[in-house]
Amino acid sequence: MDKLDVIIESIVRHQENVVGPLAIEQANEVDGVLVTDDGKVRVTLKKTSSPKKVLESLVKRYEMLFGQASVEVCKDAIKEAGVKIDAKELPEILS
Amino acid sequence: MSDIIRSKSTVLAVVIFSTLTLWWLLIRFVLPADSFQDQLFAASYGVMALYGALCGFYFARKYGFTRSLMGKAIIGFSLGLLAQEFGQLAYSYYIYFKGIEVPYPSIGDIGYFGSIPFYIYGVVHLAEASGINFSLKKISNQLQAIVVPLLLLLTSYFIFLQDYTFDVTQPLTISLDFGYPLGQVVYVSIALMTYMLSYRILGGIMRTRIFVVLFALCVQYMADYTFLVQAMQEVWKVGEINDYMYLLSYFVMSIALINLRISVVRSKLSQQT
Repeated sequence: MDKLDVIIESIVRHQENVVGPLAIEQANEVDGVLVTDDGKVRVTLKKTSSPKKVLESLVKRYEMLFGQASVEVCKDAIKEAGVKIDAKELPEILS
Repeated sequence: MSDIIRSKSTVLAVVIFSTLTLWWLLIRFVLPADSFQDQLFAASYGVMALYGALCGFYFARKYGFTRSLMGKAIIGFSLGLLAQEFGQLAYSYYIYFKGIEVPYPSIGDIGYFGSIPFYIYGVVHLAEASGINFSLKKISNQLQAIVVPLLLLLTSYFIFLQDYTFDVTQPLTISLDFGYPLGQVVYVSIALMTYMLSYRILGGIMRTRIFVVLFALCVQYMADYTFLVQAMQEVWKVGEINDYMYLLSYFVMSIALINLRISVVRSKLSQQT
């Protein structure tokens, strides 16, 4: 499983813990992200997109719900994803 | 179509509240004093709580019921409203069917007292969803979270329980005498803490909606507090201002829960993207 998939899956699961199925719905609104009902994530990057951009779009989507509180949930989710990721690979919103 | 259904739930809440308000105003200021009318009103206005509870259960399913923090919060508040209605019905049963003065404690206290843990359950999960666990990482906020509830608990103790006379033959009465004022302070202090600690971190579509729920808990507390003060001074009367305060609190909580329905959240999200 790709690093980005693992991170996004962790974010979706953490957001699901807050708002339930709406979290999956919102993730599926992000271009290139597909989350099945059982929570499995598949990210398909377009040529014009990047992992950073996808992650940013997803976090911004959740930010619309609870503001900074949602962003903090995403940060926690990344920490708990168990994936080593360089700060440079993360969008500014998560720094 | 779904928009009409969504707005219907709010409209129905307003219709129930307005009708009951009109009835209360007639009883209090127009019709001649009649204890039967007062008692009938007191037995009926719980329908507002019942409606709010049903709306809450219905809307909680879209949040995955107990599988999410928001679902748990809505279920907690709905069960609280339902418990209040149970208390109202049980009290009315004593008055109408048994024709006796309501004993204390009675089966009605299962509802009234039972609503306290349900509200606490709801507000704790709402607090978590609002991100107060992130605010609590700061020591100053941790101190605030200890000091404010403690002050409220002490205030409540000195107002209601300072001169309490213990009758050890009535352990249940003692438990309720302490449990009501202190338990009610717990839910309102968590609500106040949630407001204070999430003020900076909570934003987005849910900010106002969550603050309305916290406001509803404060209105509920004002009704509970007034009841305790009036009962202590032995001036509480059925169908008077305190009953209307309860009706108002059920209405505000109903509106708060209806506002959390996911269809509205979804449409607000689509407006923003």
